[in-house]
Amino acid sequence: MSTPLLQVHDLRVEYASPRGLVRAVAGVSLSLDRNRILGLVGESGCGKSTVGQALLGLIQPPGRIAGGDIRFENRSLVGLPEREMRRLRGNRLSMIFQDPTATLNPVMTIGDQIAELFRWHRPRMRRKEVQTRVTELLERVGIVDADRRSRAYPHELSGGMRQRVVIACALALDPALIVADEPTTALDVTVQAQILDLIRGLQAEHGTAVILVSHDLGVIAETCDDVAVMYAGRIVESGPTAEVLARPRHPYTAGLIASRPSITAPDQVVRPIPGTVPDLANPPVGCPFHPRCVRAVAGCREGIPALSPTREEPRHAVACPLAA
Amino acid sequence: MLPLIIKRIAYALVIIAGIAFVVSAMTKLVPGDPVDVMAAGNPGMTEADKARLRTQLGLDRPMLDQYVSYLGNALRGDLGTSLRQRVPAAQLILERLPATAELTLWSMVLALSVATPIGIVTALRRDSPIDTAGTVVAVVGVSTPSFLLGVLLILLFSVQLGWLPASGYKGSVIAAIPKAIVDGRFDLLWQKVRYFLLPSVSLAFGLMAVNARLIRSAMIETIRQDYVQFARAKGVPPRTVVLKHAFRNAIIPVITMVGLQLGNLLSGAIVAETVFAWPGIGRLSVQAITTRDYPLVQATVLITAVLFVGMNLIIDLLYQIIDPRMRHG
Ligand SMILES: Nc1ncnc2c1ncn2[C@@H]1O[C@H](COP(=O)(O)OP(=O)(O)O)[C@@H](O)[C@H]1O
Ligand code: SF4
Ligand SMILES: [Mg+2]
Repeated sequence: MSTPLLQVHDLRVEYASPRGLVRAVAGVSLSLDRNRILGLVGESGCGKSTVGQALLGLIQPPGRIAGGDIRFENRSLVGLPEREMRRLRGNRLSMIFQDPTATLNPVMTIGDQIAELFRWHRPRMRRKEVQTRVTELLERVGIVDADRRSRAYPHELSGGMRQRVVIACALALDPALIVADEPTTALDVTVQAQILDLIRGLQAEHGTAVILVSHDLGVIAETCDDVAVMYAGRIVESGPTAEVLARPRHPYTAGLIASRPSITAPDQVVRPIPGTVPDLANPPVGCPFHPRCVRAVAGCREGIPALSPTREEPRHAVACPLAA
Repeated sequence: MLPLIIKRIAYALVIIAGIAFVVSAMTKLVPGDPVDVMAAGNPGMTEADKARLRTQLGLDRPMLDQYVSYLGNALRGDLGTSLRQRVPAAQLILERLPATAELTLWSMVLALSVATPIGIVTALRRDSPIDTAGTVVAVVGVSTPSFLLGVLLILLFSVQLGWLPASGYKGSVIAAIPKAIVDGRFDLLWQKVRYFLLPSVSLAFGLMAVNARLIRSAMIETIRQDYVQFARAKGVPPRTVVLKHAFRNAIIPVITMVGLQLGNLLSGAIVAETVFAWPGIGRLSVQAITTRDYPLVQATVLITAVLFVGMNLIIDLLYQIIDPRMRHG
């Protein structure tokens, strides 16, 4: 077996804040192969976006990577000089942001914003060729009349169209990994499905690896080969999506599934997880989920459970001794 | 884009027509009889003189009638005749305008060329010692009256050191630039620049402080935006992220303020022009008011208002260029 495209080992990210040190990512390990889609799911404030930003080296003060390693294409990204990291960003790994109405620069044409990637990463490419590539990319993400549209400003496009442009930027240089941070959350339901289809289609066509961040299990279920469930800066359960969703082991995962309104069974009672995500500046001792966990026992306050494979399915791992 | 320009211009014309109305009615609106007021300071005035003056000021005619003829004259370039200097008011203003316009220009160039880097750096290094120093300078700058700064500058650079002239104006710098370049007469250019230095520094200081703060807060706001983070995520180098992605968006709100400041300066920096004996619109207005030269007061008010509206029009149009979201229709 060849080495995975991406291996994250015990990644830790902290933000200095007036309330104290926020341990937004507190020891995350994951691994991703080419041509796979990994879902990162969890409630808001669990550190999902921070993981994505860390992968692209985008953590800025007051944040810092406090430990761990990110190996990508056989090099370590943690501690990589900024110049080197910049060569990778947008080029070998790229990102799709959540809100397409805010992601594009309002005073630049969309064509220029795509062309910028070629300008910085392919400086020898001629203007004319860049223009051709921009048009091709816009066509590939489903924008008709691409040549004319490339001269449009973001405000002249709908939200869905703008997200297509963002995807065109993310794809432009055929990266090995795309981090899509809630790419459909800000969009209308109908447009959401189109954008997910587009991401999936392009991913399959190029063999790109994708990390799809979402708080929506439905999106994950439809799109991802594997899933990692994050809670309070940690991965609490991971494995093949079908397996994890069919047989959730961690009480948090089970809670997420139960709290999701089902379209097929609308009468089914939706049971939200009681309580809220802990303050990561001051997390609970022991298992971070214990204040909200229906199965919690006294022992859950002692020691943070490690993510370990389940007996039946070694690819399915869970961070709860009572569930393994 | 064209229809919008026409709309803006039409709008500006309506405002100017309104201002012209107020200006033409000014002599009637001031309390008391302006002719009596003037006569009080001028004992040699006969009743016949007064009557002639009333006719000249249009005090014997209905307001609307007077407005129409005032507007008609103004459109032909006749803004009345100065009572004291007995020359067309328009001519007096035209003589003074270049000095004010150029002082305005250099003050703003100076203010912005200092304020822009300071604003950007203090935004990027927020809460660092540089930022704190910037805040101190800004507070001092905003709260120092320009006349005080002007007097201090004169005391230091003219009286103490004797480097620069304390007052006066020796002609346009802009006009001297081509000659300096073609004939290498930089000495002549310097002779003109010397007179500009102290007045423009004293005017620029406060503007610099205000604009540095404005640029700083606009940059802080902009840098947090997703599109700036997205530019970083595309691998765009930091300098380009700051200047092309953040700064171009951050200046949009700043432009409005700069436009207002330019309008203000163009209507004559009254205090600075007085301190430095600068032969500009500001000093002309003061002279007109203190000598109760009504036609000249009317003319300066009208012209400065037109300049102000014109400045705003230019800013409006500039917006269309800089912010594509403003281009409708
Ligand atoms: N720039 C920042 N400064 C301080 N705290 C931050 C910053 N960004 C994120 N955080 C904190 O880190 C935690 C995780 O945030 P995030 O990664 O955005 O979570 P998610 O994407 O899962 O909603 C939250 O508690 C959030 O308040
Ligand atoms: S360790 Fe205890 S508190 Fe944590 S998830 Fe398992 S049962 Fe719940
Ligand atoms: Mg997020």
